Amino acid sequence: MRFLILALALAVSGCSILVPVKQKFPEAVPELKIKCPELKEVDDKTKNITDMLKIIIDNYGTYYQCSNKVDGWIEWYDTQRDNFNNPKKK
Amino acid sequence: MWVLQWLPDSLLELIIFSILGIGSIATIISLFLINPLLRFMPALAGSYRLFQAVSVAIFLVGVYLWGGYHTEMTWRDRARELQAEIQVAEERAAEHNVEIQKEVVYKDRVIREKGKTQIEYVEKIVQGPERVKEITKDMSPEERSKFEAKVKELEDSIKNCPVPQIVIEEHNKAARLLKDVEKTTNKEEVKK
Repeated sequence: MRFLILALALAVSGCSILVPVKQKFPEAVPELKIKCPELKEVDDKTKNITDMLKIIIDNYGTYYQCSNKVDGWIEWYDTQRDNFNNPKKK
Repeated sequence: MWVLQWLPDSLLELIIFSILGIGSIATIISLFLINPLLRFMPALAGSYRLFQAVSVAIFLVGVYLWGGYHTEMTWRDRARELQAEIQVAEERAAEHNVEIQKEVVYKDRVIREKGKTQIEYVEKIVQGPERVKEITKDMSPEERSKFEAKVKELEDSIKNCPVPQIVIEEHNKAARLLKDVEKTTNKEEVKK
């Protein structure tokens, strides 16, 4: 009888209910997680201005690729944060 | 009321309404119909007070559980609503990821291709008059003469003006700026 009373008391006790609802923050785009490469250096023995120019063009390309990634990160973060904070938004 | 969350809705409803039903009927009988009952079952006369107390207790437990059940159902509905909203938000997040990924990959490819084309163009220019002709074949005579003058200027520059060593050194210094900063940065100082 004592056990029955204890069990009943335990069963009707108003413990907090854990609501199993959890939102996951999304994984980032894999392409954005690739580190930017280092800029190329001109060979010390180079005397030809066009060889130097090719390296400079290549480095500009590297810069713009990196800049594209940073812009991607900014857009990704702003969009996902907004989506995470306002899940009701259509 | 934590046990309620482990039970399915239908079973919970059945248990609670059974308790409430039994409690209600027993309470009505024990409080309002006790005299006719005692006439048929006189043996109960000694313990009808206990019967009344137990009936009321069952009825109260039933009412309590009924209230708890409604609260539980409200939370379950809210949880279901939230789960649905979250699912939509997660699907939207995945769509955004795909959109951003496509944009980044596309721009990256275009930048790479344009850089490569430009380097190939520079290589063509310095490969001699035959390759220059390939570039100028669709140009008007005026454009061609202007372009050829530029190529001549470049050829003169390559022949007569080698790149000064200091220009290369300064360029390379700028190119490895980040590496140098990382090497010389004292992490303890940055934290301050």
